[in-house]
Amino acid sequence: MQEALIAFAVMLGLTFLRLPIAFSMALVGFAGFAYIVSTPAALSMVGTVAYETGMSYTLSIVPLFILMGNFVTKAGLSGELYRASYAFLGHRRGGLAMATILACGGFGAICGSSLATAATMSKVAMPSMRKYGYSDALAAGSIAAGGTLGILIPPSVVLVIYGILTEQNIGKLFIAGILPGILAIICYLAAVSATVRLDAKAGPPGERASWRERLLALRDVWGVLALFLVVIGGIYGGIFTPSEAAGIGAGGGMVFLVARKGWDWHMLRVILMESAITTGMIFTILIGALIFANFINMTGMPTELTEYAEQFRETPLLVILVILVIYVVLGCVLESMSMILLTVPMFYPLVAHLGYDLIWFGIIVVVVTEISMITPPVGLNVFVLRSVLPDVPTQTVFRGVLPFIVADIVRLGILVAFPAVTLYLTQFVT
Amino acid sequence: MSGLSTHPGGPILGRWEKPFEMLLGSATALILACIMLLTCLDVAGRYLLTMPVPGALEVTELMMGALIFASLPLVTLRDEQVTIDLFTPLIPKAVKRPLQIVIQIVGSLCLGVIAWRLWIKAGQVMEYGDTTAVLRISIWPLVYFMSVLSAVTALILLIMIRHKEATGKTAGGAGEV
Repeated sequence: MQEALIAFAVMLGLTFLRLPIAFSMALVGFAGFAYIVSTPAALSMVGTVAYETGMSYTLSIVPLFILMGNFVTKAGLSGELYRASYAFLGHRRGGLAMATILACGGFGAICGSSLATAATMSKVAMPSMRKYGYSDALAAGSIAAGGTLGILIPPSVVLVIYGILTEQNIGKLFIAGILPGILAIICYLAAVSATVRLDAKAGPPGERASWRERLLALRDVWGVLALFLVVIGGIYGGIFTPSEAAGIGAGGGMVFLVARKGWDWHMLRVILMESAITTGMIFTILIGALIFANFINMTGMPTELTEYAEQFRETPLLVILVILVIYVVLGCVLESMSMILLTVPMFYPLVAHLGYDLIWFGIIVVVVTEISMITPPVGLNVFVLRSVLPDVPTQTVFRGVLPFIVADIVRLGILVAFPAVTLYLTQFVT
Repeated sequence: MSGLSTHPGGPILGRWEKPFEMLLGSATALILACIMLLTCLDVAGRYLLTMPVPGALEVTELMMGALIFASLPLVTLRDEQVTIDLFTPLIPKAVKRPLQIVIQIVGSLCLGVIAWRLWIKAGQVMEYGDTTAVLRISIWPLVYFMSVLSAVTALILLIMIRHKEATGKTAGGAGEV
């Protein structure tokens, strides 16, 4: 236990000195493994981890979903999504912010990344919110918060990684994300509504669209809907495995892109290469984290944690609450993927031991991670907005995000109190 | 989603940078496209022709290995490894430069060890004559490829020391996902 805690401190210390987090984890994991077992064993462990993680069929789902997200982003489906959401919600007070949330949710259904969702939607939603005189705080806040829906609503790269770490069915994890995702949209809409109730000037209503216009706008989003239905419906119905669904999704995304923008070798090459680079980045962290996890397992920390938690058998909820607090604290300094890779291998045996469903825990972990993406000081989504909208001060964005953090905490409470919200749909997965 | 990277102090690898990025970038793009096509063909074959592509799974595995290790030098060239910049302002100016050199060397060592272990692994795989299950493709050339690209990445990290001195660049990439 002590060794593990020291290793954690050293690892974090190295990252604070700007050693890339993948290397910090690999280095400390290797040194620790060599200390506990032996140097030759540690060396051969490193080789095996790199070899096996590199050549994994299951993990092909990661680059394929990244590719699908990049294809649909370039295809410009985000504009249609926003117009359709606007047609239905725009005339309400705060309606444009509500439309932003809804469109983010829709985009999250075909894209597995929060940052990409926030970056894409800010380009479409911000200009029209500015035009109607929305406060910068509400406008930026709704985009930053809406972006976090990208990693909860399936497909989600973070859920894939969680599923691989805990050996859970990735299809079930995806399906489990659907109802909490819808709940998230509802909570965020309520947050917008509360904000404009307190300050009517923050979000004046837009124009009302006729039903004819609404139906026309809806017709334009059929592509997004079709892609989502094929990918998630295919997994749900057991027609294909999650990896296959990712391949089909990427292929479908490419068809959309080519249909809209024409065949452009240069653009295709750039998208494929960018996706490959993002994949390489994630896998470096993955390999580092697995080396670190191998060491942590050798220290016996997960077993000790489980034994320690035994005394809380009567009040397992207390343990979950402590874990959630740890996540919120770590989320202040770590980015989401590293945080999940570092902590999940430690916590999941304990959570399973206490009788909790690991699918449920995965969704809870993702929701906490979402909160960390919009809270200071390392709210990554907020920084994405900063780069897209350089004239809005970071303070303003954080202020605008505040009501959405409250909404997130409410949602987290609901999900912890009623596991059925998460687990209901998973029972039908074949 | 920008195109090729541009560095404030000129290309890290001098006149080799463009061809190098072009070659590896095209290779990774091609491999990823093949993984996608193969997966689609496999599913289509299974449902439309009731015959999946033989060995699709193992070929995907091999291509994944190639994809990940071929992208490593590009990730490094663009400085896209996830780093935490939160405490960077607290590091005293005088220490920054030596610290940066040490960090680059440590990173290079990490990749060097991985390259070395993969090289040994490749030797073992070749000795055992390991092949894939269905198509009987030899695995060892790929493992050597993975090892060599790790070594190339380690080398790039060392070359970047000199480059960073010229530009004094400290900003790092942020994580995506």
